[in-house]
Amino acid sequence: MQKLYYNAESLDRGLREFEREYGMSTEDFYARYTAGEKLPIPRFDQHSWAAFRDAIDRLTDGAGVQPRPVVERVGQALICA
Amino acid sequence: MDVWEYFQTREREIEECSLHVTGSIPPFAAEEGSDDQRGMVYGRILFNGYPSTVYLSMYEEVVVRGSGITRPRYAYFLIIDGQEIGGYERHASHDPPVHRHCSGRKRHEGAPSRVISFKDAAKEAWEYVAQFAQPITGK
Repeated sequence: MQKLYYNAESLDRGLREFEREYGMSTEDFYARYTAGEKLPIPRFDQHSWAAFRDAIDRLTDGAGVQPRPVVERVGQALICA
Repeated sequence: MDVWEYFQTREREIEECSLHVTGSIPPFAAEEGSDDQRGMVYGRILFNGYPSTVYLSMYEEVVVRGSGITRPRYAYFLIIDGQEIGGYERHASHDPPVHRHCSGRKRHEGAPSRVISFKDAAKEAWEYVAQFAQPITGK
């Protein structure tokens, strides 16, 4: 089995996908989701979106993923490769 | 025990349930820095003999505890032709934490549920698929 790994940054990319798909910020979604509001979003996606957000919170001790300059990100990708 | 052992079991169960994984990226991943003690299953599982519009959306958060694995959070939802038919969820922030959603009469109504295994969720999903979905037919 191919061994894949995730981290806060890869989960954060998932958040950006949900934001694009549903036209809502993660903060807005999460506040409404945790308040029990009925949202026009498939239940599975709601669950996953909130789970990704919670996992990022846990992995970063609540700090969230800080945006980094693209040059730094590319540099790290090259090093990892 | 690590999450990869669990993932291998889950992979086998997917096959045993006449299901298969879609796409080139497997749905299994471990959390970086967890020493393979925490991981996630996230993806679409297809039903053998049915088109890709019929699938089980699957999310599991898994954590190794001693010699076993726990699923503190999971979601299994059946999708047929773009419609979320229903599913099971477990998460501590919900009330009740373990519940099901059935969209037969009303969208997304929740009802308490027992903790459900992946295989039982898949078995129940198959009942709906067999009844309501259109299988791939030969020419």
